[in-house]
Amino acid sequence: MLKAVILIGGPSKGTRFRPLSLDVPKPLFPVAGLPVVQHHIDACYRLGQKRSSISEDNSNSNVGKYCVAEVLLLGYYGDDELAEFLLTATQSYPSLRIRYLREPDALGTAGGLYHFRDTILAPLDNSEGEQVQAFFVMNGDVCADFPLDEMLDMHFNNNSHQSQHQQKQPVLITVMATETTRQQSVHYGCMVVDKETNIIQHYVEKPSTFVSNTVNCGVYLCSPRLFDTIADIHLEILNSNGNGNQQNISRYTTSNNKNNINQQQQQKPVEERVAGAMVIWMEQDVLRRLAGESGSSCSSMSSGGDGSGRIKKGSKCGGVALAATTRNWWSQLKTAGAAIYANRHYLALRQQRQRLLQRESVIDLPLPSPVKCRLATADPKGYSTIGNVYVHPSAQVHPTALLGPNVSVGEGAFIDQGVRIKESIVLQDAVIGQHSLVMHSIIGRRAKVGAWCRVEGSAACSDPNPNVAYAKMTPQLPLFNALDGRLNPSITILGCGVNVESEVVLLNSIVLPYKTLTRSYKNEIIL
Amino acid sequence: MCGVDTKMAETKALILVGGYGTRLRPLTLSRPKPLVEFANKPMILHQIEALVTVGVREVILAVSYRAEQMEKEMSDEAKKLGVRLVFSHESEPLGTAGPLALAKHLLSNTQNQPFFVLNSDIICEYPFKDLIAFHKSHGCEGTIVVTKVEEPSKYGVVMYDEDTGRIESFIEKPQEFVSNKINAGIYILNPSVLDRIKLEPTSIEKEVFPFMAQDGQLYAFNLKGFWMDVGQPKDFLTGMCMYLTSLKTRSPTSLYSADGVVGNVLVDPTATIGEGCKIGPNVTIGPNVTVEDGACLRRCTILAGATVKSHTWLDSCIIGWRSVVGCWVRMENTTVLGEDVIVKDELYINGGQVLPHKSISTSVPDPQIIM
Repeated sequence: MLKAVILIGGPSKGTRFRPLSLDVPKPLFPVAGLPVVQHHIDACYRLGQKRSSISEDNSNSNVGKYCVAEVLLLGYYGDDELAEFLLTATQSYPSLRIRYLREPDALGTAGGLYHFRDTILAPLDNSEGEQVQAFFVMNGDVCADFPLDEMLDMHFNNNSHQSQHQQKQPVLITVMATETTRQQSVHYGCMVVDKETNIIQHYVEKPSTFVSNTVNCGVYLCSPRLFDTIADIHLEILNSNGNGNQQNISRYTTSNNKNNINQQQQQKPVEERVAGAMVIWMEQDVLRRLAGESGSSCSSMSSGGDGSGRIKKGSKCGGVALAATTRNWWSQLKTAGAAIYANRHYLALRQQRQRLLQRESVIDLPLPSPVKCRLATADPKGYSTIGNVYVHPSAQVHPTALLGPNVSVGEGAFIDQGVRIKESIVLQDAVIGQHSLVMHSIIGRRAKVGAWCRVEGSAACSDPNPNVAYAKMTPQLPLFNALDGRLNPSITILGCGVNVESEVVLLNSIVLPYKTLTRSYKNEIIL
Repeated sequence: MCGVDTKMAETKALILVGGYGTRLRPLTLSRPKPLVEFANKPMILHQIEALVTVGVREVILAVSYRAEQMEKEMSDEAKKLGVRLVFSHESEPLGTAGPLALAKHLLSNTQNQPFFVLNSDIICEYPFKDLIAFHKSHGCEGTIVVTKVEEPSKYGVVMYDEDTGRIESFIEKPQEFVSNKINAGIYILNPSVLDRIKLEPTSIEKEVFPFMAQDGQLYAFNLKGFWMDVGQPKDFLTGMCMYLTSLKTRSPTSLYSADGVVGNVLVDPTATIGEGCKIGPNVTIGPNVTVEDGACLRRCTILAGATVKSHTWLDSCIIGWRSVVGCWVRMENTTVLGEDVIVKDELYINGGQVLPHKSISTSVPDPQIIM
């Protein structure tokens, strides 16, 4: 049995996603018709569907054995902020158990996992005590064509890839990796990966000089034993903080699943087990420590000496970190501009998948209801589309409107006659007045655009350069131009409840919630 | 009546057409300025028609450029109106007074019959009849039409006695406010004025009128109603608004009315307008123009043969002859398309001046000349 943990952060995160994150938690922002994190859940769900169907007619290997049974959202949003989403997600994916684990505090990517380690490793009630073999950890703001299959294959079949080297090292973590350009790589976690074994030999988070083209995608497959490594790190930090600091760490949390503790964490000393809230990062703390770990025990590898200063007690929990390098589409949802980019790709992915489905209709995979929502092309309702378009079934689009390419229209939205929308996301209950044009923009919930308006952003200048191989989005593009202090061209964003009067033009502007605009704006943030 | 007509038949007019009309480019790259249609009629025809109504039978056009094209295009109209057009061709630009000297043989007469002089860019309710009466009443050499403007600093200000109308002095482009009455570019002059002008480049405003004023021979006639120099795009549109407002009172039936029409709109009968459009206020649509469904036009002039496609929004634009504006286009801020320009779908043009025969495929967010 597998589980998946999606790290969704909390309200103090995602500030770069404003003003869209002002009324909706960023993880719930809809991209291609699904909340961002639902794409993660969807990927986990499809993995199960696919694997079970394969295993029926193909008894080969361990492939069919691995299925995600539970998805845990981990973050520090208020429970009520996620309640509605959890409910609908649970209905959409009946075969998955979906829960929210609320961190008492921002504990860092690994700190939160460690805090809830018992819950993560607990068998499901209905699974007859089946153990968790591994669990995915996915950053909530990653948007990608998740190669979960390939990660699983690498994680569990590692021995077959490994040549006649030495004794087999257990795999603690498999990291989804991608290639970037030399210049862009330094904005990410860079990994030096052994081409034959896929073992990560060196890891640096956002180096100041070039280290490697291969970067961490923020999606991991972890073995339960990874918690031992985190426990070691935890203990080290505790020790290095000095003895007098005991009261500082008074937030020791008692594990909520007491009865599971012994079973799961037998080999641990008792005092480690009770240690709780402490900020630990998957990237800087865990991966950096594991990288090159195997090197110290494997003489044939060259780069073992790299992080020798760090590797002290760590070596005792011996195990390796692998990198599953993919060429699948991958990006991060840091800024609002990235949402348009992600929207485009998720729409394309879905289109591709549907085509695949139609071709292999024999298999007829059961799809959760939101994914079944039509991808409009020749629509019965009569409006025209270009390219990939998603329209929520409850949205109304006038027959004379023209949508696409790459448009998502949310629940209850109203698109009036003669409207043109392209490269945009229209959120729930938004209204676009007749003959208006919306391009490269995000129209917030309940926002209202009058007649003959023009709402236009710049084709996100942070989009990857299509002429450069492996180029990614530019994550560090500043909001303002350093020379003249003006807003850099961006997509146009209307916050929720914004009202744009008729015949107004909005260019590259960001409008905060509930503003009424009576005149035109260009390159402005409207508070 | 008959008596008046014969007497007036002697009265001639000279229109200062002048040169290249650079201020009204890109339109004047395709057509000489006097032929550019203002409210669906060549600019100069507004003046000629008004002159004809007061009995002028001979109009002298002082031109230095493209006389042939004008002659060709105006001859039919002239025949219709029963007026003779005489082209006085300057081989070099002669300013505003030189052309009078050049046409001296046409203007001078033994009966001492006065003649009109007009700048070709002026649009107003030409008060020729009252002007003649006033001129005759004071009996001096010349009368200048003056008009009140809001910003006199751009023009030649005329200082005159409000009671008698006698002009005291001229102040060209005053830095400080002295008066809001300016030279409107319409005069009636006795042939004796021709003796004051040499055949060389001369400015009538600076080198003739001030001396006439000194001699007490020049009077001001105060213009009623609107006045505009429509020699550049911005003023062309402002002048159109004024003209349509005036047309509304003078001849309301010539204005167009239909569903979705707001305010004063002039539409040629050969134009077609689609469903769900919002046209006006202050729009002129020329012959054979097509406006497709759902377009919104305000304060625009659409010249002959142009097409404005669906869902497009235009404000303060002049669309050149046979130009095509795509769907969901937004153009504003005195955008001028020359002849046969194509604007692709979904573009935004803000204050663009587009030269003839261009095809525009990217937005122009800031005022710019597109060569």
